[in-house]
Amino acid sequence: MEIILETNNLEKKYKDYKALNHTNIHIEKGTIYGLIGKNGAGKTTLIRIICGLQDPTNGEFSLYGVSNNSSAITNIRKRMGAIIETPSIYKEMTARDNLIEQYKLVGMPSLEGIEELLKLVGLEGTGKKKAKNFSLGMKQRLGIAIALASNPDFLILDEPINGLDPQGIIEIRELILKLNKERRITILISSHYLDELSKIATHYGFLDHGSIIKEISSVELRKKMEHKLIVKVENAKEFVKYFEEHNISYEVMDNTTIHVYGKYNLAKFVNELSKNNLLVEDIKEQEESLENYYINLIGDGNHA
Amino acid sequence: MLRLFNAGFTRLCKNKLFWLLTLFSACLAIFMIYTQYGNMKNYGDTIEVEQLMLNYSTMIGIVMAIFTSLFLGVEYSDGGVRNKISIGHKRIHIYVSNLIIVTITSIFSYILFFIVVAIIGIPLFGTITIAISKLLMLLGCIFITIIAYSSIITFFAMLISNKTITAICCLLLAFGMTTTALVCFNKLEAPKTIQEAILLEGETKIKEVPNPKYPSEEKRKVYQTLLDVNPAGQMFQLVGKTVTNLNILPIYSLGIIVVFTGTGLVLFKKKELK
Repeated sequence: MEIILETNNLEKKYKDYKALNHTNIHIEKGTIYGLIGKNGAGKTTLIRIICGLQDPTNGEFSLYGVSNNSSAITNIRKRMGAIIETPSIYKEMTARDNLIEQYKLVGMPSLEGIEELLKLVGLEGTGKKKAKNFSLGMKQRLGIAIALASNPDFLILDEPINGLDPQGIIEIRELILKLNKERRITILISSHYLDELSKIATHYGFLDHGSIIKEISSVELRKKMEHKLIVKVENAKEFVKYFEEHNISYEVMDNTTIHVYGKYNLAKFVNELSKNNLLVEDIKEQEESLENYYINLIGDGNHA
Repeated sequence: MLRLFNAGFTRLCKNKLFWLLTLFSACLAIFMIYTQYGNMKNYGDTIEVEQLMLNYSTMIGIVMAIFTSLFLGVEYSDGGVRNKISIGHKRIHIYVSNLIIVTITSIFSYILFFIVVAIIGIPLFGTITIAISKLLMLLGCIFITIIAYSSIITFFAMLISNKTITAICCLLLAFGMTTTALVCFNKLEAPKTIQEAILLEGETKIKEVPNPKYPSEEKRKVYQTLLDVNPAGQMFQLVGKTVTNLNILPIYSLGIIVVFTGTGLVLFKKKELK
């Protein structure tokens, strides 16, 4: 799978404060990568560096395989679109004029496609209304349209649903899914709204204190969040053969702990195991939400 | 960089501030002609039309400070700069294109003023009384000084990310330069001697005495240099046609352009943007 963005031990220091600390992320083509982290975790700093607004203190990153230390990095950015914190729109201009401005900036040969873009983001009927009079959701959608003007294949959205009402959140979510499915645009989306991200992301990167503490696909994550049994045993290896033979979804965590995914009757399950001479020392049920998973992952927050 | 110019001029044409500046330039020309025509009719003053044509240059610095700081300030407040960088424009191109756009706008504003004065003023006050070559030289110097002004104001507008602070700084700077130029100009204009009335044997006699406020030769050199280096000072000298050496002013202006644009480019390249 082609990697669109990769960072290698990226570091950013502001005087004595480390905003990014050996950050490593990998974004594959065609994915929606949800960058999760609480406020101040380093999400926006990472995005600013990728977009060229700031330089890393140490480490490097590559976009489409081009290193940030190469002079070609500026040119390769023409393949991406971004909204960093707030959308870049001229508030005294209409939605159409903002797009004309962007078309000229990216060097589009004609203004064809502007109407289609406005339609895509649901702003076709805004006419002469200036962007300063738009709602927050409309501004975000216009920002996305501007970011799409150059037909990018990589879109970076920094906190795109901040401050939006529920309707606005749904509109942005549907738009992101549409862009990913219909236009095959790879999307990096940062947010601290876990619930929202869980509805669209195909991959996750959990950022805490400037470090990526876990990268995981949504498939793996769903598996981890499934209803599961945490089984404590003397020797995990003895159980593997049984689970394989009986098509039981499991994961050996260490020599004495196995996670068994799915819903089982606890008494029957233990009884079946003991019939096969597999003795369980302890067993408990657990169901995890993304929120719990995240909290467990960052622990007490002392990852610095 | 052509894309940046294309987009920049498109934004300029749709910018209310630009049209206000255009209107201001034309109205100022008409207002000056109107007041001078009144002076000619009522008091029999002789009006030199070329003087009217040059007059705008004394205030263009302040006009440019307002226009440039607000026009470029929007680049930060509305996210224009970060958008341009994130879609792959080089910082050096962004800086230079903005400098060129505001310079061309300022020169356009001056030319518009000049044309309105020429079209209405020449039939009213008569033709230009100085040699055309001299007028063109003065205009050339004014345009170079406008570029120097632009490079100073652009420097601040591109390095300060806050639109309000940019506007305040640029205005204070423009007023500061104008005030400094006026102070220097007045010091240099002080007469060498003044008349003093003395009572001698019951009679009052007028005696020429050295002016204590007349600056020493060394101080005169300092004031003259300050006047020559300062774009506002250059404008006062060009309008008053008091320039001792017309060739030196463009050299000072070029120095300002090189220093401010060079430093601005280096600092803007390193600037951490949000």
